[in-house]
Amino acid sequence: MADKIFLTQEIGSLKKPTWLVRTLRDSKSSPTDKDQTRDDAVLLNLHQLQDAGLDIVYDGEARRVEMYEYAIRRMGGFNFVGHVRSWDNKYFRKASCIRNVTYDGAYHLDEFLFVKKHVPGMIKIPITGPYTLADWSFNETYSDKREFVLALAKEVIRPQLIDLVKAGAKRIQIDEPAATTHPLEMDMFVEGINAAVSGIASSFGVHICYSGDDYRSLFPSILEMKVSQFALEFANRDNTKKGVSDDRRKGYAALKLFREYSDKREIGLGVVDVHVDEVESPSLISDRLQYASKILGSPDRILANPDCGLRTRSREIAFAKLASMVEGAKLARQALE
Amino acid sequence: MDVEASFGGIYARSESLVQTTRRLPPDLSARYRDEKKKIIAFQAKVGVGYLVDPLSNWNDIFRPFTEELGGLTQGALARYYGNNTFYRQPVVISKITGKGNIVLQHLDTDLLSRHTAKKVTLPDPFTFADCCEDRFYRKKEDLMFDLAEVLAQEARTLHSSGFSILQLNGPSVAKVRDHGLLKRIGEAIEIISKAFPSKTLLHLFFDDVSPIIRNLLDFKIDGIGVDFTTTKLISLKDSGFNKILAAGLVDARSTHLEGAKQIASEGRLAQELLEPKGLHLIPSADLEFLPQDFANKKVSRLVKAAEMIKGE
Repeated sequence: MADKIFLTQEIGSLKKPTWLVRTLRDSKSSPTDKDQTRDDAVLLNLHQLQDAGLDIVYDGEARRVEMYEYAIRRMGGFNFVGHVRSWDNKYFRKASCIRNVTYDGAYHLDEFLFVKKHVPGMIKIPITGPYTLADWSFNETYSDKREFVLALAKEVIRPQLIDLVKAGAKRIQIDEPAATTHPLEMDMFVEGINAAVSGIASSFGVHICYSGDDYRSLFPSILEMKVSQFALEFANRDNTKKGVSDDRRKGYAALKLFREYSDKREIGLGVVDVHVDEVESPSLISDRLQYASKILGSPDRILANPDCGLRTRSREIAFAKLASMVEGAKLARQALE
Repeated sequence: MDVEASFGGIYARSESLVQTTRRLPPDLSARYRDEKKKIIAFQAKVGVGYLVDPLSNWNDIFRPFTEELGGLTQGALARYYGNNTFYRQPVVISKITGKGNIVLQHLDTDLLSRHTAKKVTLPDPFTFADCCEDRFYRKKEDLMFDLAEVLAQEARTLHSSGFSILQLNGPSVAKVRDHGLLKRIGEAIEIISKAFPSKTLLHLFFDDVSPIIRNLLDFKIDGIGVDFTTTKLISLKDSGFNKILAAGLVDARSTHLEGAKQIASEGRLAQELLEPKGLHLIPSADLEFLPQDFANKKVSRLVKAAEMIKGE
């Protein structure tokens, strides 16, 4: 951990620049054109994230289609079977696991090395976790979901993590948005993460968002999870009133669970709502950070981040939110000094 | 014994409609209608027992009500039970009112043959209340009974329009373990079944109903649908099953394709163990969770299995 409190970080995705999408969809674009354009998009994201003042950055996931399909396409054992609806006219391409899963090479290694080459400061690579990959797939191979999750954890995610750590990854965020979908499967979720990370020398975090039960189902199971940070969504469930009282910061009530269970790990605090265009003011963000500090007692283990990836917002809004977040963290630091 | 194969609720969208809805062309409603024509033609071809409008134009099972029922407004996206599928949460802001003319406007009944029996699906009033964000009623049961009244109006209109089976989708009911609450849910459902003089089925899915099967059998309805991916058939033995059994024997959330022989074998076992008044072979839940190719194959196999049982 750095000396500075309230380090700022992104969670992952940013909206792709229109010129990148156009090039990727253009049948006249050669593979070289596409690769070069992806590189350009990554460099743009890295510059903009650093210019916004973030302490820990990655590439906005500019090379990935999205978090599920990109990963599944690059491992063995799956067959894409078609689109199913997420909501309204939004869909995701869903795959069936039709044979034992296999690690067919480090599907995030090249992008990581590219980022590492171009960023002098701290970087954090996000990767999709085994529980979410299993939960969002059809399973025609393993006898039950636990076996499926553990196979993904041991056979695919773990070797991926080992390869990333060998290449120099010091901060790895495992994205598990499905974690709280089935509260009765919390032990399975924890077992999957532990099977993937145990004994690997790096700093691992887990990102969880949009929990239907205000993260209650995570406890006590996550106390056994071998990670050092939880990056969580909170702003979406909070209001925009100023202040650091319980009444004003109801969206952050789940922090008390970490205090009650004496969990001393880092919290990546969601201080920016990724589902609204309104840019949170630095003072509101500062209040949210100060409230978390008041509840958890130690600002040195609190980081500021958006609730989730910002890909749902325009780039203009996304970077305005990130700049406000950086400013809010600065205000919070000053207030506590 | 009456043995049929059918399905209900929202059907899987074709890849073609998926791509169309992503573009939102000006003739989208015509494209929905084209999709419905194809799915209805498929039903007629394979020989389902009850034709359904596949609800290709419904974004979720509550949406026509959320948009048009008095007292409701649209809220945030909420997860539909344990699925990676979300619905727009109905937010209750005042007393629920309706005129019984919403559902019919969202169906294309003219596409359904007049010579074949027809089925239509609504959410059951408890599930509907359970999935709302309530800012008006103090008790969920009060909301449930008012929803039952407006759903009964809808049921009356649908019966007049020629539907002979009403399926009420009740995943939230399947989770209830409070006997007092189940009794009141039964009373709310009776308000609807009384308004629909033909057959009413309550389809329970995503949970084990064996602990509450006796309560459910007291409901004043004609049939109960059971998701046999979550309820063991043997656990319903000795329940005194006195209704039509809508047996959810194919998994609506798995691409594994059950064989017709296997489905028929399980259907026969259900007949032997439960002695229901009729047997409908159905998917475990709505087929919207699968790509359409798989949904079609599962429906074809249900029909084939029903023919095997009937042919004996």
